[in-house]
Amino acid sequence: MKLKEGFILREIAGNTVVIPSGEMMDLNMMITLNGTGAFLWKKLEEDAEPQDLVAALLAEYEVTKEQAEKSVAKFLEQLKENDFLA
Amino acid sequence: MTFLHNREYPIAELMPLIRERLAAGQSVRFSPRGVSMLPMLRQGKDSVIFSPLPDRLKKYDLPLYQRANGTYVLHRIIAAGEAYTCMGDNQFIPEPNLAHEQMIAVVTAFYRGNRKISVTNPWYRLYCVLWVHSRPLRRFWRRGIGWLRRHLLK
Repeated sequence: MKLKEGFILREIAGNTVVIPSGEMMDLNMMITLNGTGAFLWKKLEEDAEPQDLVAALLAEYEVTKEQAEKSVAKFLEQLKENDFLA
Repeated sequence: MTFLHNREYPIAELMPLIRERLAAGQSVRFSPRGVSMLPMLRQGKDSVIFSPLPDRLKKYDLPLYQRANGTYVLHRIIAAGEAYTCMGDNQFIPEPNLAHEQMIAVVTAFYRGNRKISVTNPWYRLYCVLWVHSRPLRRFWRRGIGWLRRHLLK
């Protein structure tokens, strides 16, 4: 599972944002990620499967496996809705 | 839980990123705020494409620049000599003595809603010339309307 290419990840005003950036960077398409979202995004940049994301969440945060699985499913769903997945 | 948010940032927060992309030769699409560039740019509806600066800017160019007090401004060049004089299309007081070093980017195209218009579009060029040169007339008109409101519509 991989992200589409051409996104820039940056810290702006203490937030993590992603911006599609090919020949032109479109700031109207900028998305702000929450803390967990930013964490998972960075994992996905390295190409990770859903179970890898769940494992990463369990290692980093104090959550149950069920909560982690739910979060990952929701996160991937939101990425899909925004057409961020390759 | 929502992981992704649409959030607006003040341009000052975005400037390091904008400058970085311009320096890499990239263009940047941005939606300006405010009313000073009406009727061309309507807040919340229209956006501009910033491109890296040429060596010199010309009259009618629309640059993004930084004032000495740090604020970022998108106003039209109405006179270009050694320094530039800029003014918003919806303004009547020119801002003189702007150095080229204060300029950051120049608009090469803009979106009116979903329609992309290049600054080389002849109708846009005509708008620029007519709009800048009709300033005295527009000012007189606006004052006239103000006078009528004050005196007749009491």
